[in-house]
Amino acid sequence: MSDFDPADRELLAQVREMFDEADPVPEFLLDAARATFSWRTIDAELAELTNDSLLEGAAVRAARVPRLLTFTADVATLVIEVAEHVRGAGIGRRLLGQILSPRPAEVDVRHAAGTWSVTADEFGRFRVEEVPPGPISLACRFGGATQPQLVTSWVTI
Amino acid sequence: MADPSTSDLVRDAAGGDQGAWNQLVDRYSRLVWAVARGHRLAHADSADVFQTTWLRLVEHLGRLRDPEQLAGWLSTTARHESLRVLRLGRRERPDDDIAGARESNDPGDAGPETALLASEERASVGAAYTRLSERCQGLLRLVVAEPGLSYANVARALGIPVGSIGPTRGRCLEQLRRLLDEQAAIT
Repeated sequence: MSDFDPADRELLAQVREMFDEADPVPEFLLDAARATFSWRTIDAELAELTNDSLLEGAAVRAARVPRLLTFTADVATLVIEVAEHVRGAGIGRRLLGQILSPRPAEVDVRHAAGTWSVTADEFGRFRVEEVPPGPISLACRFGGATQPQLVTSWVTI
Repeated sequence: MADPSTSDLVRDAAGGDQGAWNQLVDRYSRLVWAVARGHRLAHADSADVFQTTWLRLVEHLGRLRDPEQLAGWLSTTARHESLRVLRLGRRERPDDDIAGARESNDPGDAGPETALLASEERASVGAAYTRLSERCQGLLRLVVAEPGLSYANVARALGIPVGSIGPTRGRCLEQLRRLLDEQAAIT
């Protein structure tokens, strides 16, 4: 899109300057983006987000209907139910997870505010309370492994 | 020395080079932010979209089909995430510790247009811009954030047909120029 005549180029430069002044990328977000590199996992299979109930159906979501996220990889499929969970002053989300095919696992919910570690039972079910809104990714270890074999794509909850 | 190509930076970052990653962040942050703000998301929601987009790239570094087209991948990812966050609805986050900028009187909090109006007096370009149609605002913001973005990627990021990008862009620039002339005439 760089095929502009000089007058357009000059006008666009003014627009760019205006944005840099009025609505720049906040410095704390630039720092956060640089720091995201530390979340890099090697050797884990990536489970892509293959379904999000939020993007289906009516444009306006019925209030308080839990959201279903499905992450798919060769090693396992993860279905996560995200419910808004209002308690006290904070507003967190409650995650109910199901690993398919069912099996026990150690599950880490990775979040900018910290990591929540839970154990999935023999039926592959797990539950995490009060996860703050924001980007999350889940990392799963099966059969006592020390490194995650599966990580999910990041998604905002 | 010439700047390293985007695909070189992606390759080095995939190999564990934090410096290459930082350069990618510096090169494309404006674009990711522009896509989120172009969807009229509030500040905290834009922050989530921005962070999720970079986090998703961390996991995809070694899996990109065409690393040179990273701008397109980032703008598409940011758009999808913006649509999700729009569907989530405006959230109250009283305990939000991510955004130091979330004071109650923060003009950025209500959405990008409010922040721009606040700058009206010091920048007449901002005043003229806020009078453009939503489509023109989104398009021009993307163009200035990443001039190298292809028509196809601009179309995808805005959810409009690729064939309309060229004519729309011309019309938007023309409108902006006319609004600036009008403002100049009355002041």
